[in-house]
Amino acid sequence: MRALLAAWVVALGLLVPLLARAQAPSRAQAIADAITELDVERAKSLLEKTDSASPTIAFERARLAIYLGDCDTASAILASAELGATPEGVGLFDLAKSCARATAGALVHDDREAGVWIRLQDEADRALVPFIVDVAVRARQRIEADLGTTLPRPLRMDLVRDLFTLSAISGLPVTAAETTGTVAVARWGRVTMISPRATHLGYPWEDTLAHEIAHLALSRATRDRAPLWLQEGVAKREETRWRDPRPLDGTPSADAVARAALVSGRSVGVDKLGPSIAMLPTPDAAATAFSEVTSFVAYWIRENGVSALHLLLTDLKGSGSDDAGAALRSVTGYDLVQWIPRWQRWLLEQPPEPAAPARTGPVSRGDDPARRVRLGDLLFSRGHSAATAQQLAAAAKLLDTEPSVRFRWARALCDAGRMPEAKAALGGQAEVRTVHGGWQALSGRFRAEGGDRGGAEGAFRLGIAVDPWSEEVACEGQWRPRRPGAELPALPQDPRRRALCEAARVLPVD
Amino acid sequence: MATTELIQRLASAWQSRVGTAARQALLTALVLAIVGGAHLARLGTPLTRAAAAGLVAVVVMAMVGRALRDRRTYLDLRSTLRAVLVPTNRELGERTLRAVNLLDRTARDDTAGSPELARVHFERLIARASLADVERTASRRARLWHGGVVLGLLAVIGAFAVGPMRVVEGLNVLCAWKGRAPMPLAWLDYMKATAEPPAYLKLPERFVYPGLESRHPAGTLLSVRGVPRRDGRRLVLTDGKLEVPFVSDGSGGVVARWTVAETSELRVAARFGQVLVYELETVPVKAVVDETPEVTLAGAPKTLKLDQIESLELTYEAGDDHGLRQVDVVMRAGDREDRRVLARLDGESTFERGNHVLTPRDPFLRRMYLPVQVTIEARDNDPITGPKWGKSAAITLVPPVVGEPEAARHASLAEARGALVDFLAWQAGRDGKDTEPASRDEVERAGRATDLVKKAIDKSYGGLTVPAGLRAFVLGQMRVLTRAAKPGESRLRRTEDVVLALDAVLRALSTKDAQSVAKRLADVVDEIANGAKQARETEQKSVGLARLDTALAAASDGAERLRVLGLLGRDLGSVAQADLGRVKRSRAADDLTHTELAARHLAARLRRPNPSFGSAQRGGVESGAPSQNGGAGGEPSDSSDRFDELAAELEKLAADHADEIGKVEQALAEAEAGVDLEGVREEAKQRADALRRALADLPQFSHTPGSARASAALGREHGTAMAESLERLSLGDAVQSGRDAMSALSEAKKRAGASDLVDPQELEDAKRELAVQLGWAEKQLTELKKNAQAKSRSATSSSGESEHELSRRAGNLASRGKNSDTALPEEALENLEKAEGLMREAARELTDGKGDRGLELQRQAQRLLEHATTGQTGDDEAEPERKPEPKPARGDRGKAMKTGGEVPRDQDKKNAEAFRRRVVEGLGTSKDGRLSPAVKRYAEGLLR
Repeated sequence: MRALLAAWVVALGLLVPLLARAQAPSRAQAIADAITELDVERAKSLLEKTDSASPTIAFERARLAIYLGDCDTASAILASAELGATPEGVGLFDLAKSCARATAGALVHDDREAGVWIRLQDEADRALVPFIVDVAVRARQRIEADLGTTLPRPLRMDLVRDLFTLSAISGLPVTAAETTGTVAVARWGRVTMISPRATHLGYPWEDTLAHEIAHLALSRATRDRAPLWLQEGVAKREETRWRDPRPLDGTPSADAVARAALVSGRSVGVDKLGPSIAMLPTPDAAATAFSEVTSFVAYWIRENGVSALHLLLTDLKGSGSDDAGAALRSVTGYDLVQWIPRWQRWLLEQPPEPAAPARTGPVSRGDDPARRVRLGDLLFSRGHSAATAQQLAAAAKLLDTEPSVRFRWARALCDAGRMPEAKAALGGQAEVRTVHGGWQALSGRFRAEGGDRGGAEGAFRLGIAVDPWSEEVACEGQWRPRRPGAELPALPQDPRRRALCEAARVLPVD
Repeated sequence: MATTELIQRLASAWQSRVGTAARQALLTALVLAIVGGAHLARLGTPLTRAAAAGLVAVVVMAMVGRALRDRRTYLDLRSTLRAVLVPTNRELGERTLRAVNLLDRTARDDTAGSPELARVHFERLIARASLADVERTASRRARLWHGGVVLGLLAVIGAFAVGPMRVVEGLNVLCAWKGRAPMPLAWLDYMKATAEPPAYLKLPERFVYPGLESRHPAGTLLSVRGVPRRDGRRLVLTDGKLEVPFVSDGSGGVVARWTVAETSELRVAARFGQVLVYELETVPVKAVVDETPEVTLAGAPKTLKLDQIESLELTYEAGDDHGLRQVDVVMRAGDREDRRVLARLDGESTFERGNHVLTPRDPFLRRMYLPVQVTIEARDNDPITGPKWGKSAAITLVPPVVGEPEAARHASLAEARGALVDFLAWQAGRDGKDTEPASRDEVERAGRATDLVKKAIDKSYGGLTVPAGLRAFVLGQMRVLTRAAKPGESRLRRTEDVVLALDAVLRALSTKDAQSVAKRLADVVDEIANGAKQARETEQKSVGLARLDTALAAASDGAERLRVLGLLGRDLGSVAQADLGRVKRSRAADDLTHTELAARHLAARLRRPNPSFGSAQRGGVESGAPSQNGGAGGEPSDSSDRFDELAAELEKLAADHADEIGKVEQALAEAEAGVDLEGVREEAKQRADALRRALADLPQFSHTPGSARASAALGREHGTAMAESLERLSLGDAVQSGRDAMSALSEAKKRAGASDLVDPQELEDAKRELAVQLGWAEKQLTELKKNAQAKSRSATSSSGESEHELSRRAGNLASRGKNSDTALPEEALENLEKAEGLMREAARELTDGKGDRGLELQRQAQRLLEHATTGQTGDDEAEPERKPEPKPARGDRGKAMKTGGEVPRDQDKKNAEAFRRRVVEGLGTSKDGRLSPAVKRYAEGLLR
């Protein structure tokens, strides 16, 4: 009897480590899945319960640290020789190191109430944080509803100062980012976005933020199994759905661009996007690809309904494989290869968008708008408003739909005290072809002065949505006078915009 | 006879015989121990010395012991009987001892018997003892002792016979204290010493008198010689610490060589094991150490702000007691050092004087942000203790903030552009007057704006100037602005063109400056990281923190300056400020790890000085709207591009023309080489000899540049060169050298004063002979050229056609240089037009077969072309190249120095610098290697 008992004890002693070893991969997979789904609390809890020192678990621990934005810890974990021997370990270690350098000493704004965590590389961007939080909360709410998923709190975000840092934090090659003009990336459970101050005329950072939040939501909803076309298509769809429609939304139309690309043979192909749109060879190719996936997903949802989208996301998550074709087939009866020609046929059936009016014939060198605009800028910088207006009037004749030219012209006239002429020079929303921060701000100012406070607010908001660090935008259509001795205009009443205006006025003028 | 008396007699008889003999034997043993011990002690080891001492001590103790024992024996009856009677008659002796015992017993114990009877018994027995027997026995015993004495004495004699001085030496060694014997001994006969100073001093050997103190340079080889008094001794020369053995000198004597390193008293000594026995005589030596060179730097110590000086002239003097090898200028900032050789010397010169000029554009100074200590350091030629560096007091240069000169230049140029913009605004405000003739007011306003622009481009900003190409472009534009308008020409439009042209180059310059400043700022930021690392990882925390804080302050200032450098500068500057904010936050929290990490990130970013958003203007990917940049893009002015095209063509023309000159020169040289001069070879040789004789009395060199003696020496050099050329029948070179010599001698004559060491008669004689030979050489050369010209006619005619084509190209460029877009500066245009004329004339001469005249005109045209060459707007400012390592004295360039030419204008900094280099290099590689550094410095002095 004793002998039998002893045999049992020995057998158990041998079996327990074997069982533990067999359990390790499944535990590691569970942790990996939790991290991929951004469920960092679950991942933490699972990691706390495991005492395994296996490289896989250490790797996941490092990955979780990166998802939490703690690149120092990740770097320390990945420095081990065992992890350094694997290609994944080496890659993640490089990322953790560059991320640790890029985020060291950065300023963190943790808005627990809103559930938004923002890390700022440039302290000067602090004045923009309330606006970012506002957009993030609203966009997240809408996207969660649209995709039938809930994003964990807080939403993490890195606001960086340049592409170099974006690359260091996200791992996206800096040359690729520079080529395509990437402004934001949703990777490692965070949104990494470039500050609008990095670009000369800003960029639509609000929609970009919504776009990236949609990526995070998709990753969570599908356990990161959504194919690229679905990722980008849905993200593009969600860019503007969180807010009221704005002038020039959907201009140019994604369908029109996709159709034109298809007709001209410049199509990138929904199923030929490569590893990332940000890694396409040119900005034009990237723009075409975005239009194509936007058009395709919109078409697909139109054909199948939003509930089919929810079903597709659920199927992708549950499928356990990266084969989106099977999920598509199970949801709609067709796979991607069959959907693409259907969409292309539909595209070709659409009437082509009327071509933009052709520019008038070749202009003489003296009337070159670029020349006039530059001369206008130089004259304005020296306080010669009348001469500036003279130059820009000539430029505006040739580029009458160009808001940047109209804005400069109107600003000069305004500076010269010729307000009625300034309002006429600025023109209305229908007269410009794109959104320009300065134009919107000046338009808002004119509207406010005309008593249209609601219209003014809309214009100010749109200006901030595009180019918040422009002084004219931040200061509600006011600017520092270039003439020496002139008085500084008053700051905006709204405390958030007042802070933004004060921060924008620190920047040197041209 | 009483009993007691008998006993005393017996004892006395015994003692007088045996005791004396024993004492003699012990004394002999003592002598033997001392002599033997001396031999043993001479080995010099502690063991042998102790053994010797022990031996003597044992014998002494034996003697003392015996004396004590004898004394004790004869005081006691029983002992006396035992010592004397028992050896003589054992039975009687023992019976007598028993009788003594009975006597004692009866005295103590009444029951033992009658004391009287016992005494009687004792006295009867004693009475039986025979004095004669005792004496006989004692004598026998004494003979044994005497035998020992004899043996001992024989041994002592033997020990002395081996070598009496060995005994003395041994005893001396035995008595040594702390390795040194107490008694000096003479070891050498005929001792003499000589001193041979180190070879590098080139001093003669001298005698040294033992006993008298003598002074010698450190490294002197002192040789002490003599004849050893006794063989077999290990003689050494020692100062008490070190010792050098004497070795055979091959002639019966010995010699020891001692290198003098420090002051000491040298003595000859013999070494016995660990003991030295010194010679009586000493050789006191005082070492004279080679001193560190003394260097003085004029004006040092002082502190200067780098951005407030155009150049820093370093006038130095270096002196050494024996000779100098090298003089360096050394710049140190923090832990960085830059050392440049100013002169390599032969080690004979004990004094060196020179000048060196540093400019704020020096690459090392440009990179620095910490105060730079500039010193002159000189190395001596001491091979004994190793070369020593002497160092002057320092001139401290406080560098400007990184990017300060660029920022100042940008501000100044932007202000100049602003003045033009103001002028444009004024013009635009006069409706309808644009095509009317310019009013006086307008001309004045244009002139004022132009002056401001010219002032801005001529100014130096902490040593930073406007690049030559850019300067030429701007001057060309200013010429356009101020020239009279053509009929119907819009002056407003013209001003617009000029403003945009200036704006375009200013923006290009600011972009370039921003990139350059960013890269330099990256070094400063790296220093922050290194300081943090040092503070964190080493024990030098305070040093690391000081490094960090200094660099952080400098980087913050640099980021401010970077921010004003145009669009790119503003972008990069604000990135730098953002990241420096992270660095400062970490530093404030004493978090050195993150301080380092943030700084490393920023340094890497600044080394990649691209716009924050790369080449794209606005967001295209992952954003809502791909591109919203208006249609007002594009470059508003391409004047600078067109100007650069013209400048490139001008440079190509100058290069092509230089090639054409080379072809003509070659054709003429080949033709000259074809002319047979063998007929005059002998005469030329005789004339060369005559010339040499006439020059022989002139001085060879002078220490004072600019003196009559220096000119005379130069004349001699040129004259000698002429003689050599004559011998080689190189008539062209001979004439040129002859003219140079004549000029130098005339100069010498002019400068000769009463105090100058030049004989006027010798000067006059040399000049007269030189004139004769020069006249002959010129005549021969004219003849030679005449012949050569005829031979080279066909080759030069073909060059004439090429020259004509080149002149057409020059004309075309000149006409393009008058256009607004590609306007050349006034001076460049004039030069180009003049060059065109000269080239046309040269083409005619060459076509006519007048090769020499054509070549001369070509050369003149080439000089003008080179002056007209402006460089391009994107060219960098002429960087002062790092002075190359001074070349070995005998350069091997192989080319004859060209003469003639013009000195570039002061404003033309690039050409002036190139000219300076050519002159210095040319003179520095003169044939006399020993003098080349001096000639180089002389040339540098002249050029300043």
